[in-house]
Amino acid sequence: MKDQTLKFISYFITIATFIYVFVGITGVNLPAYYPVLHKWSISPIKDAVSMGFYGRVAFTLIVSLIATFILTAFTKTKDTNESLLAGFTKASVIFGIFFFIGEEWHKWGIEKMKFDSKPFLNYEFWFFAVLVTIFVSIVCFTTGNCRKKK
Amino acid sequence: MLFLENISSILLGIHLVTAIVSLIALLAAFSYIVLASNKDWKTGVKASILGAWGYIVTFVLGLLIYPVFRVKVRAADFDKVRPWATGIFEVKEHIGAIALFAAIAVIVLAGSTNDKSEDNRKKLFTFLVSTVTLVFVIKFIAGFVLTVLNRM
Repeated sequence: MKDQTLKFISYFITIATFIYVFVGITGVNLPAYYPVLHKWSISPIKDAVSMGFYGRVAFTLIVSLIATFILTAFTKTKDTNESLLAGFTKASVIFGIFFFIGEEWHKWGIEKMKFDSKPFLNYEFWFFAVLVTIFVSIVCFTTGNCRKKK
Repeated sequence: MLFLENISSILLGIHLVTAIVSLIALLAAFSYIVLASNKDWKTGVKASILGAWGYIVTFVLGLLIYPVFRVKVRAADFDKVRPWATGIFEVKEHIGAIALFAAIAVIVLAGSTNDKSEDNRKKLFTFLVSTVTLVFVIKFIAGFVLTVLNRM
């Protein structure tokens, strides 16, 4: 890839999105802020309101920037498949956004509201169906297959 | 007293103003770069830079007022009585973080992106501007809904 800035940005977004998603999935212990106690703690403090967002965003930015600099320097003189890298970048962003819509709404909009139930065609199924429909539409539009021909 | 609790109302007001300015800039950028049949890259890139910086400033202001929201609104009300409102907030928060990475990328790429740039660069820039704009519209609406719920 001739455009090193484009390569850097593509790596950064892909890596940052991956880290932001998987740091939660894998359960990495990051510092959380306890606003009532006015303190930071890596070990969870029982029965205290905590905020993990600061630690998650900071960790993601720091680690992804380091990884991106290293990867870009390592691949500076190598040929890069530009289309594939661009595809990875777009896919990671779309996946990341859908992941959190799915995860958080399932937890707070369905489970905590006690809308989760056993039948196959339950709230979770229809929520899933909506997400899949939107996702497939996005894939279709971004690959140029669903746009009106001029 | 919670962190910045004494000026949280002022920060919230500034958060709203920067959000409105950013939204206008991002929608303008989206119009010039994505929707227009004759794309105006020069104006679109300028609007993108303003919108992306506005996004970052709005995001940072949100971080500053978050402790007050977390305790006084979310823990005290939403988590217990309206968990679906917490769901809206959590979605807003996390997709906002992903769009933050895209906003940073817009600013880095904007300096050297114009109508003469290579297709790969223009396509990625278009995608990033579209992502930041769409996510910001969702966050703006979500923020409005949460504010109304908080007042109820």
